[in-house]
Amino acid sequence: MTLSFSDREAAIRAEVEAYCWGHDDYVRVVRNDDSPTDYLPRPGAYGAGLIWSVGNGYRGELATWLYYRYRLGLCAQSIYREALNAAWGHDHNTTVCTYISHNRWLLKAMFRHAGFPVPAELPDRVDIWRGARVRLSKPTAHRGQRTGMLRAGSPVIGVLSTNRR
Amino acid sequence: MLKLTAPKAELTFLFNDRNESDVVYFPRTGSAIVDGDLADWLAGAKRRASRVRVAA
Repeated sequence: MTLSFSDREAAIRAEVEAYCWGHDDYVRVVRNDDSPTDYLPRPGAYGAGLIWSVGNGYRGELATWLYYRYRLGLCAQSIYREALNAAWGHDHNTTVCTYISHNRWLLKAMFRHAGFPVPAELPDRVDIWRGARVRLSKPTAHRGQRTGMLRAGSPVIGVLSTNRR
Repeated sequence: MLKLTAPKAELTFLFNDRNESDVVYFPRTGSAIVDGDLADWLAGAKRRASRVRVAA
């Protein structure tokens, strides 16, 4: 059985309400208030505020909940984007490993639909580096295998640069 | 270090609030290469450290 976005949103909301109920940022997010704030002068600031108001272990769940709400038209993209930005920027290990790691396709969709801006000044093709977590022989590494991050569809989380040396 | 070259249009996330230039990219194929070796990167780190000392 495939759950709809609506089913998934409702299922997570039941959890979220338990630890966010009555919180000012939660109320504003549910009202789809995408106003900027003093602490974050960008549209969607309450999405970030909601993430910051809970412990690390809840942030992946909250970001996913807002993703489904965005897909259902219940949440502005700016609120969802700022929430994902706050969760990922603070601790992407928590965002991914605690909640979303079992579904990298969901994670890909979440990033794609967040609409993060890419600076216009970047060249059309950019280089990305990241360290390998395991000791690899060069032939193995060249094939991009067994690194756990270079399979098609898996995220590469690395450092962007146009000039490393 | 592993390196891959990605089209800008396919980058999904850039995070530079701490000047770390984090990027998230979902590659279609495993196309990374090994970029240099330990000695190569250590040499680059020493050059950077010397520039920082000169600037200071």
